[in-house]
Amino acid sequence: MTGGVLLPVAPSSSLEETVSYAVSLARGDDAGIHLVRTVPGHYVGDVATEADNRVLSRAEQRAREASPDDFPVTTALLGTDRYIAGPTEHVELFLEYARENGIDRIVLDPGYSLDATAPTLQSLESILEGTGVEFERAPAETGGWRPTRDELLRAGVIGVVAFAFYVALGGPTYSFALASGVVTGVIAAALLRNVAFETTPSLGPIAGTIARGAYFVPYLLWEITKANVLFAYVVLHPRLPIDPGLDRVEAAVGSGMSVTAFANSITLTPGTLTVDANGHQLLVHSLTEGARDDLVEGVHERPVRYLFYGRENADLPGPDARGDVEALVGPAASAEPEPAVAADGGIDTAVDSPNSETVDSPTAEPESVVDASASGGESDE
Amino acid sequence: MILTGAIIVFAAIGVFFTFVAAVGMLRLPDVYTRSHAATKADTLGAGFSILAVALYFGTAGEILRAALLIVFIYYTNPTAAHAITRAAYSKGIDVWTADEREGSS
Repeated sequence: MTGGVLLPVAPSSSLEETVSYAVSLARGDDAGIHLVRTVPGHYVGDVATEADNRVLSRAEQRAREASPDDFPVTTALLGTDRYIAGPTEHVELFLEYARENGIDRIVLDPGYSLDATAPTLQSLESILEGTGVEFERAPAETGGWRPTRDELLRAGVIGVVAFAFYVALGGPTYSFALASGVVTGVIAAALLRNVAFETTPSLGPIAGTIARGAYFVPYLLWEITKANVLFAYVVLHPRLPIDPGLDRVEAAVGSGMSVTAFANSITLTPGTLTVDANGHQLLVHSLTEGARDDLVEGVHERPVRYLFYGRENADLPGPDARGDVEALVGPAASAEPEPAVAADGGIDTAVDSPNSETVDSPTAEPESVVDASASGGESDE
Repeated sequence: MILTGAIIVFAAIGVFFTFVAAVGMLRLPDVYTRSHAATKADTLGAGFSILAVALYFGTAGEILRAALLIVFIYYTNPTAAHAITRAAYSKGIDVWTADEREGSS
């Protein structure tokens, strides 16, 4: 049976009304309703958090109340088996689920947001536009602007941090300067409450990360120092013993913050440099072969996983052992029995057109959405 | 006395790594390898120089501001290098490999 309605679920004030609307739509064509929630996984195989399950069961309960007993209500958690970052990857998950279950209609909650990110930043509707899937915004009242508890919490954290930063930089002692600092902090909090965080900060994980940071930062500084001694040796050596290479690595970290930390610690540590990042796929340039070996063995990855996910999740086979490394240019690439890359001219062709071959492939998923929206726009005209 | 010595040592280390960065900029063959010089040696050189400055002034306010400077340099330097190499890569600039050295000599 095809048909049915897909409803992405997020905690919002208009969720219940949206569920009722979606149920009435689905009853119209006598098909079921699917309630889905995307879960950015800490790492593949991670279980959904309690909060995710709670919002899903709340929506399910509402759907059961609003419908006859034999009405099919399905719930699903999406994205538990992969790392997702950014709205396009969330939409991809919705579309994939819709395809698999033959769903041809998506209902959006006007109050829907991807965790702590404002929906206006990159509207889901603009991504969905013209993907061929029918979607609509439920006519539910969002009740004007009513700050949620999470929103206030985020605003508070930003305000306090901004004010502390102001005091630390300027060290104001007279009351006018302090008062203008407070005003600045409030403005920063109001503007950035839905921008600055990926997830609403909660005390436990933050405290854990800060505590582990006390171990991570000296470790990173030590690695940076080591990197520089090595680098000085290589650069000042008369023969300049470098052997650069380029690799694509899939990082086993799952949020913007941790990918950034990972990419930057790669850049700062021995002989490796992050050239491009797409979702959790990184393009890494390495100066020497030893640096590359460190990278593929997960020397950079483990400390970052330790920092964000704790000790018990730190140990993971390196990217090479997981098969998450693809050598593009350099000694490792030439060693592989691929004639196009092994031959001298082959290296040139492989590098000459990074736009068509190397850069595009990691972006294939998000771009397919963009392409679809472009073609959809044409067909509308 | 010990403090003065520490300041001199840190400043010297800072100057050394900044020098290495400059040499790297000149000697390394392409934009990607040169970015290594800009991110690593430069960052550490600036870090040690700022550390020397913080010790020289020695007041709590200056040390705090120096620490913030170091934090921001460590955060922005790799980001800038990433932006530059990413632009170079999407422009299709070749990655220099060791084979090219043998070919040219």
